[in-house]
Amino acid sequence: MNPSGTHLRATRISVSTQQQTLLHPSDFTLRTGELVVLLGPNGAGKTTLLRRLLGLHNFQQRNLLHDGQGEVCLNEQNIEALSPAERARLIAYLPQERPMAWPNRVRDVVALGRYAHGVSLGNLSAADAHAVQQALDACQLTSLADRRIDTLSGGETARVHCARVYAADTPLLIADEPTTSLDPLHQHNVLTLLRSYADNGHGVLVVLHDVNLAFRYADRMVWMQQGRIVADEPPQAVTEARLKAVYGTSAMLQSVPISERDLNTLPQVVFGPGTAPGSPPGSPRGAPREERTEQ
Amino acid sequence: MPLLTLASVLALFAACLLGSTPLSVTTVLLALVGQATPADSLVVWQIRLPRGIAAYLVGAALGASGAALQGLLRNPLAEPGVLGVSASAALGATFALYYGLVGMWMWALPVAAVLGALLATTLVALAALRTSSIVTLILIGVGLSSFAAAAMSLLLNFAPHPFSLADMINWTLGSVANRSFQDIALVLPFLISGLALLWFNRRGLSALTLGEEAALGIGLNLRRQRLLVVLGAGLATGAVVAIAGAIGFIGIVAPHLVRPWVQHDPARSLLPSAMLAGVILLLADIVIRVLPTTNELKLGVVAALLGAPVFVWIAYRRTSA
Repeated sequence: MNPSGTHLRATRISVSTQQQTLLHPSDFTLRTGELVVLLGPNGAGKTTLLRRLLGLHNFQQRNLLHDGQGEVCLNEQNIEALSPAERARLIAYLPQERPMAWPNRVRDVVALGRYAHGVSLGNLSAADAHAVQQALDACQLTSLADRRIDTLSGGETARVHCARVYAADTPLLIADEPTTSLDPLHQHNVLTLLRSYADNGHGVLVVLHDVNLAFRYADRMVWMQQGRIVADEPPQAVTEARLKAVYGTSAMLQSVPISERDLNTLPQVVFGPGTAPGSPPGSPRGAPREERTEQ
Repeated sequence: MPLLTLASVLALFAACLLGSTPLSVTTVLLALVGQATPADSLVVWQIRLPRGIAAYLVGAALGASGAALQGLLRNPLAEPGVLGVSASAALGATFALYYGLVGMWMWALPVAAVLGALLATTLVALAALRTSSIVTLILIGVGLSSFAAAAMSLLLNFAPHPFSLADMINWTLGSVANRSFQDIALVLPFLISGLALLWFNRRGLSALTLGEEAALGIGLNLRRQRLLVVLGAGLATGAVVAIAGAIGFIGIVAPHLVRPWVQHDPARSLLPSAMLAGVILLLADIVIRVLPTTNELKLGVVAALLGAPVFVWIAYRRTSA
């Protein structure tokens, strides 16, 4: 599939329940060729935004209302007018919750990524089998391909789900915290994979909690706070003030070299205890004694 | 799969072979191709074969419905009997029978049973939307079953047509004794459409293994999937309950045995589950017929004797996991 030119554009989308607004009217765009990282504290509305973008916002809560003016367009077409399979051939989605009902084989789980292409498990077309094998290779799962998924470690399972969305080979990809429970090596592997996916002309939107990973790999960083998108900026433009405001922590920005060989610098943040209202009582204000990196 | 086909054919043949009147293998073969004496042909064609086919179809429908409901509800304990679907179908069937609806319209029996089954399946599926707890679903099933049994005995007490306690037991415990090809033909349209619905929507069951949100993400039309599987399981279960009454647990046992052989994929478990459940129920029926008891055992009793321990075993394993 030629991904170029696919784009997702949301205008003034919002989600609310009877009691509260989960997502205030927001605009958002995702184009092919870019890797956008969505960041924000827990409960900021990141997952709500992703679901609203995909038109899945009321899949479990039926009492949700959404602003009738808001609209998500995929290639100038309202996303809710597409059939689920049409949408899934354009955007792959990796949700945060990945509860497996059955102890399937790794290869089958990855093959389900191609469901919208008409895959029947156990009877894959050559093209599907090829895409599945590529995804397994890309996520270093080839040796585990015939294992049952309930025999894998948490990190291995997370990689299986990454491989599943990768196998879909869609122009756009949305992943909700794909690096949770991965060790640093595999976090970087997943982000490297997504980065090259974006460089090959796909569009990637990914939720991360690790700001430094985002600094390293993102084209744009979109910040959310209390149901609002508060900023959309390239990594170089992020300020300490932004980090402090969004997370309610103290934050110190530094420049570090990209690698031992590449001495170009990249921002890195060191977080400290909170200074904002709502931080634990007794936490030191101002000069932090001992700062921990967020990992 | 070839093994299951072979087992199905052999079991059907054994069903024709074994019984109170001894027949030799050659006699049965001759009777099947229409070359035996009229008496032997009668035994095979009018008594044993329809009964055997009825038992097989009942098992197959319950096995397929069980496998499909397990895929839909993402739980190995889901099954028409446990979820109260069979009992509700039996309620519908008894209502049609003893209130004279059957005399007015010949399709009344299967239609009433299917409506009963659909009502229960819909209730359970609606409950499944609100809760992910299988305990809640099974409790709803227990409630539905008890309610259906109570309503059935109430209906029979007020029934304008005479009935015996044996009728009641037939409907709640299940039996395929004295079933004819006409009985089977009457429910066949419902059975076939139900099984076809399940078969053509089996791919979505694979998708649901990932969880509902991810299944939506990979392009499953969840609403449609739920509707069609509920409809398919309701049609198939209702149809066979109209033949045999409520037979429980068989829809748990067969998929449970099949699953490891199909890499735990609900879609691929559908057909083998149906065939295995058919074979199991057919063998159980043969055992009932050859057992030297004065009163013939009910098929549902044997199915529960086999199935209930498996149910308990799975439930026990799940809580410890």
